[in-house]
Amino acid sequence: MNRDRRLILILSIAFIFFASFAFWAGRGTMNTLTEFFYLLAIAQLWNLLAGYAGLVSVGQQAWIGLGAYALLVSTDDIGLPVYAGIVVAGLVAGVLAIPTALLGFRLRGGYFAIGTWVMAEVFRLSVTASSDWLGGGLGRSIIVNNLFSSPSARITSIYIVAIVLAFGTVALTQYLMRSKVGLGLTAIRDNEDAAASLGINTYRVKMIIFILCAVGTGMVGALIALNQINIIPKSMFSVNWTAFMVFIVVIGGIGTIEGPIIGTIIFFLIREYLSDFGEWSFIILGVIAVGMMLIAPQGVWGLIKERVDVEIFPVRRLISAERLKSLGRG
Amino acid sequence: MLLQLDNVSKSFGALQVINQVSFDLEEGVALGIMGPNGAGKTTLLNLIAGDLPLSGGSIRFDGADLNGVSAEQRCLSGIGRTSQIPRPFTGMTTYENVLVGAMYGSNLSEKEAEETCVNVLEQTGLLPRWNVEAGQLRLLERKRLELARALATKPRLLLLDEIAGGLTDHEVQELLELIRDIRAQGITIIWIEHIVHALVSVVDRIVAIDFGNKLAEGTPEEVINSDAFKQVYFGVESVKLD
Repeated sequence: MNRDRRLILILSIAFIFFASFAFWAGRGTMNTLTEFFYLLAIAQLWNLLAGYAGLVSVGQQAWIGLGAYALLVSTDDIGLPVYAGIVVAGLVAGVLAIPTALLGFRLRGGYFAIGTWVMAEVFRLSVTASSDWLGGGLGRSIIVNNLFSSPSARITSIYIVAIVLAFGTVALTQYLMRSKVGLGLTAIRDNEDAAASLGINTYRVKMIIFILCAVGTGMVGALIALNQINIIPKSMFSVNWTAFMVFIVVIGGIGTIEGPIIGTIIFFLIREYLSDFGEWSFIILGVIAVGMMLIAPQGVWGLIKERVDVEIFPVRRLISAERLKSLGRG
Repeated sequence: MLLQLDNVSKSFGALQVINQVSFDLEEGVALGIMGPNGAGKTTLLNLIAGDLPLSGGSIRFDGADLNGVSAEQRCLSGIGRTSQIPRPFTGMTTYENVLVGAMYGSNLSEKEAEETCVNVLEQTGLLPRWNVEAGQLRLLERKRLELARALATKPRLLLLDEIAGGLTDHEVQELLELIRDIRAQGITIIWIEHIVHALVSVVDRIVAIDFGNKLAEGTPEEVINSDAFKQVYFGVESVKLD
């Protein structure tokens, strides 16, 4: 299909473009872009969860934190190579997402949101309780020298993993949307009861998405750990991670693939601009998000789509006029 | 018997909405359910479709007890429904709406489902609206979409909840043709409707309910002429002319 080929081309060019940064860009640029891409990845995952599956989780920091600690243990303690550690981080988050979902799915709406937050706190407190092994509340540092040949190799490797995760998440979301699961997910987004009466096992679809999002977010957690070296429960399990995801998705446009991409760009621009305001910047970000929800709940991408008929990520199953005509005659 | 309701009851707290209603439905029959506002008609439909759990009694579909069977499993076993207030997937196209029914409800691959969707869209007159976002459809089209989606799940029993409500006379006539067409396919129908003349022109049998109780059951003529029915609809015991 033409639209799909165009998208693959755009994504490939963008990926090659950003991958080339690894050869010529400075450390500062790469660090900023690393953050950009991992935020994009986790925002896109939260969008999948909240925007499509209707699972408004406020506990995604659980997977960031668990991913970070899983990486720490699997590399420093067990001695796995760093990339294996990132995969393990995703798996650990995915496995622990199952009991979390079994408990959380008994709750609805706002109760589910609070429930996920509580679960994240449970994970944080469990990690904090281990002072001998995991360093308790003070945390532990990753001995990165064992993992990378040089500091610049560390920055480049982390950057590459960040773009792989970000592009992987976007591509996965696009693929999902064109699959049966995505069709069901979009139906659940629009009307969950109607989806059930048409034969969709809404519980199972939500479970798949919840676990998938935990795996992705866990891998990003491992990446954040590698980037920060010091792993402290308070910052790794911070609800701020989810707050960032929510902000990005709400500003950009919830329930679309384009939304989180635009949202991440806006988030970065605003944050750069607000960096002089210190802690106040969070309040300003919050005011912007609330204002956006009241004025334009469909986000910036929604506003654009109202005016121009564009679709970068074609998720619709459209038919050509000629084909429709021939069907009508038949 | 395709469907058997045995002393079906439903209460919300102290409020008894359906009170020991029983009836049987043979395959291929079109049954109308009549009753004033708040009689419990939609609740009864929700109980059959599995959108609400029973408080008492039992419902059997094709011999199997439906107790504890979820709405989506009932859909898979052959119970399709439309909703009184259309519930389109507003962000999806008309085609995708029907595709959901075909892929999930009939368990088809996307390729196999296309043929089903084309047939159903043609039957319901929605083929020209293939690419249109369902949120932009007019009321009659939304009602047709409700039917199309349900038909795509290949139901043996189709539950219609006030599908003619809110339509003009002319639109009701159009819809009646479609429902007769569906009936002719051999699909068993339970239809709840306020518009009596529309209902009577299609169904073989009627069950009348009021305040959750079954008042009368029989052919449309029998029910409309029954004393109990007149009492509820016209407020008189019976009218005898001689």
